[in-house]
Amino acid sequence: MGRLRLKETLLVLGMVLLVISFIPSTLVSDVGDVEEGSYFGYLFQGETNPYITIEVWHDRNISFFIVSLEDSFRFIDGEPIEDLTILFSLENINEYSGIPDLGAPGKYFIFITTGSDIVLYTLVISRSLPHFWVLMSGLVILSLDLSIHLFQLSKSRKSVKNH
Amino acid sequence: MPENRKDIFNSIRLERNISYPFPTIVSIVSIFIIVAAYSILGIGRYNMSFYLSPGWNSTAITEKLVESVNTVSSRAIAFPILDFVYVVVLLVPLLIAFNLAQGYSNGQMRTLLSYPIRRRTVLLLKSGLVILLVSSSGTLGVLFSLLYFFPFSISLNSFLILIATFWISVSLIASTCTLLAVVSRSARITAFVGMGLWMVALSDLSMPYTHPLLRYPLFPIQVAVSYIDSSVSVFFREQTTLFDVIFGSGSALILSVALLILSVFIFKRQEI
Amino acid sequence: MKNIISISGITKTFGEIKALDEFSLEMEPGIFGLIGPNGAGKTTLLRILLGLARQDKGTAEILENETSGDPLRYLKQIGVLHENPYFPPSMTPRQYLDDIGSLYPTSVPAEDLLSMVKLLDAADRKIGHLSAGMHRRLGIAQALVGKPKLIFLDEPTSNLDVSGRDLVVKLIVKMYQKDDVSFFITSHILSELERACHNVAFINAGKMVERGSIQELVQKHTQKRFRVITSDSWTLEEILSETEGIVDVFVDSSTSIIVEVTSDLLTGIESQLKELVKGTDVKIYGIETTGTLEDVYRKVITHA
Repeated sequence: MGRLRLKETLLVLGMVLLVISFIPSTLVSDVGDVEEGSYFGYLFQGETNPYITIEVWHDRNISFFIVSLEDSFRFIDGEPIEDLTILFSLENINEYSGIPDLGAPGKYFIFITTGSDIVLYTLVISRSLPHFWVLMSGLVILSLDLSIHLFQLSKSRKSVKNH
Repeated sequence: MPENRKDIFNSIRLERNISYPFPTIVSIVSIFIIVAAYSILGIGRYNMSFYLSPGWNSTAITEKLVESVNTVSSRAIAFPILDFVYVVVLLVPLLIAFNLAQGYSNGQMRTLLSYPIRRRTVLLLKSGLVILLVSSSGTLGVLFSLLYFFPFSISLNSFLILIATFWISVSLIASTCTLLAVVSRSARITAFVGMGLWMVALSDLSMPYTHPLLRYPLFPIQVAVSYIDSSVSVFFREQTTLFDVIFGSGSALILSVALLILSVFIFKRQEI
Repeated sequence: MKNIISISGITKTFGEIKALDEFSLEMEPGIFGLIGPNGAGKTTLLRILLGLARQDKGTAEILENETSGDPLRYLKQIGVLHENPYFPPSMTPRQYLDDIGSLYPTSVPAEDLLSMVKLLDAADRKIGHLSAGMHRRLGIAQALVGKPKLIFLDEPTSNLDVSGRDLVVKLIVKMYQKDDVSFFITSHILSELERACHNVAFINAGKMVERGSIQELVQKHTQKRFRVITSDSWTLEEILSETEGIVDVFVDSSTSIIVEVTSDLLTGIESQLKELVKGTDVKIYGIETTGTLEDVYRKVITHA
């Protein structure tokens, strides 16, 4: 009885984690404008490397860089970019979509700037799907459930044979 | 003749086995985990951003940034808890209707009261287990999702305030439905009137124009969220203080205890 | 012998309806049957005895405890099977008996109870999957779980087949003889009460209309009833129904007829009957006194 409950609980929990691992999640979604010498900073927190999409309007270009929370404080305090540990950066791009390797989990800042006049852009940072750790936990739990099921099956076959 | 601890423990085990067979518990916990995860995953939209124009004031921005970083996990708890309230006002009346009110018509109450269990124990166990199951499922859901999506960033203070007010809100909704079940002795009335009353209250009385003396005791969770997350306070155009949270939670707790005492009083005199 | 149930002048009304009207009863240890038609007040009486309802007037005591006081004093010493009990469909009989057994100071192990009611094979099946008969047998088992001194059984044999009913009657008698457990039984199936009970009472419209031992009651109410073994019961019925002094005639089979006579005909009944059929083809082979609890029921309830 106890094992049956454990088996069913694991199945439900595993399925729940699978469902959760596919829930879309936007960390940042913004349409902003930035001009030469200015920066737009966005704080985001990710347990895995995020999926970033940037589109710049009217064939203009922007640059962006991603730093850790500690470095962002230093940058705000006036430290030059060269002294910071840049985790990921791209210069003079019109559009970008991809998953930069940040060594997540952690809290990060993305700073957007431009070399030209006012530039309008759309920024979307999403958690990459499926949510890796949730999916992995779900799969581990379901595998455990399957192992228990197979173990029970082989045990019951053996007992039928012996009978 | 007081019941000893063993008797109470045995009664709890019996009630759990009667009213909460295995899939019910797992389903309820699953609902809360999914809602919590869904809400927490959505809070990224509320993350902070700022503009640095040449010659920016680094001190002001740093202060704003620190505050934002510190409140992100509190918000991560606040959002699922606000969503939970909608699940609770649907789930709790249904659970009380099936586990308590239906007992009058299907013979469960008559059978149970023919065993050596006090009426008071039966009633308090039935509503108490609903409170315990729903509240602990919600707490588990929040903890589970926080560990996944905001690991090691839980602000204990905010967590305790929000979870405590969540438990009190569940108790208030459950005790209202318990009284309804005992008075009406009907599962249908308990479920529909219970859900209806709380839905109407939630959509109408939780609005800013309702006087705080009525709103705070009815929705202590809203007061707590407003205290933790300033964006809710902006909506209410009010500064929520810790005193408001204590007043709302305290009066809601007193109200739910009073409703339960009244339910026990009626139930003890009822003919089954 | 001390009474285990004492009921004195209990009255209970529901609006205009008097469910119990100055009802009094005393029961000594043994097997007692309460008989009455639907709506006679049996279940109301049971509810009052169990503390589930309150009487308007009168007092009731179970095992020397007032029912209006703390019911826990006597609920630990009694077992109950309601007419329509609720057993959680998702639990197994073994689990349920274990759980409710833990509520009593001492309890019979689930295994023993299930074997007693021949339900051991279904011990680990969900209650919701049991047949109506099995459900009833589980009801008997749960009434026995707390090693009670007194057991209330409301229609214990409903939904049971012949062997199931036989099992229950034998179990009741055995438990009384071996373990000194007393039973308060209400049932419509009078043949079983007749087999099991020492004393019975008839209740009608909330009033006690008759009580006593089965033997006394049958003798009292059926001494003028006879079974006549004849060659042609239908013709004999025609003859007797026109005869003065015959109260009731009932054709039992083609060769047997039940006759109830007045006191005047009681002496020399066989010769008087033979006299009546003289000159016809009908032959009377024998005559015997007859009477069952059912006859008493007809007399005290139906004819009343």
